[in-house]
Amino acid sequence: MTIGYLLAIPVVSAFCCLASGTKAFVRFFFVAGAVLLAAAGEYFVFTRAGQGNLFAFGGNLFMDPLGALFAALIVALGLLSAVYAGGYLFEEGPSAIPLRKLRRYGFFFHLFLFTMLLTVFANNLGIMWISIEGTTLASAFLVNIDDKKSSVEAAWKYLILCSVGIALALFGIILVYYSAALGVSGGGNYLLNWTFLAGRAKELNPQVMRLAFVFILVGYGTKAGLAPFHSWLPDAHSQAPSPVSALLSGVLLSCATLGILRFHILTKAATESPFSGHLLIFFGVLSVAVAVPFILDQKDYKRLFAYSSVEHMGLVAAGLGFGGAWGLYGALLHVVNHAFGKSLLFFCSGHLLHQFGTKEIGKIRGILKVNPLLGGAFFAGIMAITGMPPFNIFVSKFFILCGGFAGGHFFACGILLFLLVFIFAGFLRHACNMVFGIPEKTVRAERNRVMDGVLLAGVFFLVLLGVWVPGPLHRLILGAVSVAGGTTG
Amino acid sequence: MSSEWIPSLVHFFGMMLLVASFGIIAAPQIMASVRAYAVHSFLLAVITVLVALAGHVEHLLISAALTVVLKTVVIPRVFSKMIHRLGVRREVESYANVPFLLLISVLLLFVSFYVTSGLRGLEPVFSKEFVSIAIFTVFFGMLVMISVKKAMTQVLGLLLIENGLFLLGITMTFGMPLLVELGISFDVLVAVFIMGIFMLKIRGAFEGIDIDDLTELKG
Amino acid sequence: MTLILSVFQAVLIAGFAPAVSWFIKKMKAVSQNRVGPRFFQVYFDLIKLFRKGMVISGTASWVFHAAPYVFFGGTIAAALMLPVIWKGALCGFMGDAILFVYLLALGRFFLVLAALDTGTAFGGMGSSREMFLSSLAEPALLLSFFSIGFHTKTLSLTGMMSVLAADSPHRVIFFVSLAFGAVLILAIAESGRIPVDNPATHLELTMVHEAMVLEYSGRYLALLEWGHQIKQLLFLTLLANLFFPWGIPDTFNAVPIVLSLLLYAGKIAVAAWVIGWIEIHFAKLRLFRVPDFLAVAFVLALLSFLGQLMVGRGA
Repeated sequence: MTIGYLLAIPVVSAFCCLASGTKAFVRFFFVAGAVLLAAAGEYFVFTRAGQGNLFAFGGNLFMDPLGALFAALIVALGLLSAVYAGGYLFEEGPSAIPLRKLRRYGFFFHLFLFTMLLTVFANNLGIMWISIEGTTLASAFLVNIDDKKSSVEAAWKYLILCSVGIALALFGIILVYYSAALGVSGGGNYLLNWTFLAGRAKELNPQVMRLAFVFILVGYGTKAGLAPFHSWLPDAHSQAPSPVSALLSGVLLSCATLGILRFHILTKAATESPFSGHLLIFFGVLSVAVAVPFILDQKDYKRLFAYSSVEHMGLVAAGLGFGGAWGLYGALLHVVNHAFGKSLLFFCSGHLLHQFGTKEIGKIRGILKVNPLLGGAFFAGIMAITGMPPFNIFVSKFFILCGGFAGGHFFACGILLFLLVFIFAGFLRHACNMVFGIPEKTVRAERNRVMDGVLLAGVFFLVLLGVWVPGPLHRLILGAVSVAGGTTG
Repeated sequence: MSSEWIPSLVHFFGMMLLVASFGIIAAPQIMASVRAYAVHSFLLAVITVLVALAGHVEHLLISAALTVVLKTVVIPRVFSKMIHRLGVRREVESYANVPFLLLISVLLLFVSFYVTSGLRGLEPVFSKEFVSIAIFTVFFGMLVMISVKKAMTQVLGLLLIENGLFLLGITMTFGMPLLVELGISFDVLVAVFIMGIFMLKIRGAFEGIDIDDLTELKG
Repeated sequence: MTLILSVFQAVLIAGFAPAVSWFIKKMKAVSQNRVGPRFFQVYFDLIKLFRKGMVISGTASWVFHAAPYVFFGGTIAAALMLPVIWKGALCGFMGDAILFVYLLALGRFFLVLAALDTGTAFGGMGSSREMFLSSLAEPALLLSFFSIGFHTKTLSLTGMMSVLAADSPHRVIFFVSLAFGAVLILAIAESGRIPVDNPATHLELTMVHEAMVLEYSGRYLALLEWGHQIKQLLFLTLLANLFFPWGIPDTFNAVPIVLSLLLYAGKIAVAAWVIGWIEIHFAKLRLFRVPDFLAVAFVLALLSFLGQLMVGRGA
């Protein structure tokens, strides 16, 4: 099992889905591909994690603990999402989805997983850029898979805004390449390789790196959903189907954050100043602040979750900016926890749409009475996402704030705590309105074992990670923290 | 080619690049904008060849050939086919009138010159004016994206931004490694195709590709 | 000797002007698969007009009578300031670039008034359109002159030409040469060619210059037509001699002068070919799109001037 084989799995699954003749085949390739990817990916990551960096394709791709952590996350969430989607996509009956659309869905889904894996495994900064652009292109179709008017608009906004942002990131990469070509001796073909640059970071021109980091932050920050570049996020995440939204919110934003992190490491080493850290903290706090009014006054529950993603990505950015052992560990753990928490919420939203037929918060009442499992999972998810113990996000938020206080950023942490209170209040209000109370109309009561199973698995993970970080995961995150902290390998 | 010709040619093509940019925004019809973009890309390829000859960098010639094929021939043809299939009104409407936009672009040019003159650590391998022109092209692409009301021109603006970044790359560092350039070009091509497909969808959903209609989702 | 040469330059321009018109007409005709007029036909047309009697409206005032003379006189006076085949000009002095622009503006002003003078609808319409277009064209021309003048540190046309001729042939100066684009567009605008104005039409929707001279006949019309052709040649001469000023001697020897005459004829032929090519291949712009076109000229001129100021003299 090498990086190449791992990357080949989703590509093969994608084309198999596209070439399938019947719905059964599409379903098989769709789900089996995700299962195989998850199994192979987790095996690969956890057996090779402690053994140093692993290179492939002439050093253009590699896996270090940081990349391994994100890869593990991608394949796990890909599995959950595929299993959940497989539960309802392939139903026959009046609302059956045509074969053409299913083939497209399978194709772009696996292609999307492929591009995300390529991003986290990329060593060559140019390849990383190409694959991030690739994620935009692959997921645009997924956002618009239902061909409705609003989703076309959302997909167009997503395409244009993210492409502009990524073009700005290319500007930053050109500047990094320039400073590398200027200052670093030797290299030749390796000038764009992250491992090479990280080792020689002291030789990079600090002023150019500063400028480059600003552009990268703006560019990849657009993709990561940092304010004020987040305006595509609520539209795209709310218009996409729920399993896709789970992937978009949980994993794609994290991949973009990985891109920012890689450059943050370079810039911190090159400039030896807290410049990039301060910028990250600023945009992080700004994201949380921008998310607050939209969470408090929100009518559509999927947009609510999307704005919550903006907030959480802001927290991750702030954690990365705070730095230090606490901040970095908290931020990386938060990436994992947020992925699971947000995807649980989006899976619940899929159930909600299916049962109540509406996207509005105001029209849904009494979920607990209608479907106790859904109500319980939904309420647990909301409690988790706002950072209540004993759920996992509490732990990572706590670590991030510890990192902030340990680093002396009292003002920023104070603002964050203040804002988090408002977010908690807003979410609680929406959750109580939706979960408790008397349901208004009788709703369809079909139950799907598989989809319910996914919900239960999600809640289980939330609680598990809230009380205990499993050994292998902990070691992986520690390895990633050491990479992020500047000591490679 | 004697070396004293190179600066003059460089200046000449730099100015033609500016004129082509103005042509994109001042064109009354969308096909004229696309043609101006083709001219812009062609000039970019010529400048790439100049840089390749001046710096003795061979792989830039491949990039130049790629630019000519992709951006001067293929992408404008994709656009013209798209215009035919979409059947949209040929006239281009802007949010502000053309002389005002042209003045704004002059302002952008001065801003980019001012910005690059202030950067001290920058020693581009090719003439310094091109860094300013490249930054101007990036700004200008964004101006085109926000000022014209058609979805097609937004894609054109995106391609202009990419042109500006390519110019920046070749004048600052003799271009990125060939593999990366190939990948970026491939990405751009795929992006244009996908945006073309989406424009068809927009036309199907909204009857026309006027951006003013894409304002349903708010809050 | 200077006097003879200078007068000869003016006579040359006046005599050569109809030939340039013929060249463009012939180009258009050939492209449309017609034979086109003979070379001397343009001259015969002018002579015919001079010989014909005039019909003058009863409501016309002195402006109507004075305008052709002012227009023609202004154009000839402007021609006297331009170095054509020799480095001097009869009336060249420091700052004559500005006077050049305003002599042409004076002619246009009187023509506009005269068109309004007779009180016809077409005249008024032509006048308003002409003023509308010239309000963008004149500043562009002035800015172009200023930008070249800033670079050459002189505002006389002969001075500009001398300084620019001293540079080596392949020097393309970054911002100054943008003025070439501006003057090219202005040449098209001022000579009333497509895409700004169609010289061969008398449809109400499309005529600008033709609308103003609609009321004129006979001798006055001949003066106006000839003056218009001279104005066209003046702009082409600007293009040729300001931006490609090599080969123009400042001595009085016969051989260099004859060579420069031939070179000048060649340059004008090329410029006329370009104008003709544009006339053949493009359609006339809608009236409200013409300011966009002229705005490009204005912006190019503005850039060429301000660019030098802000960025430093072009390398």
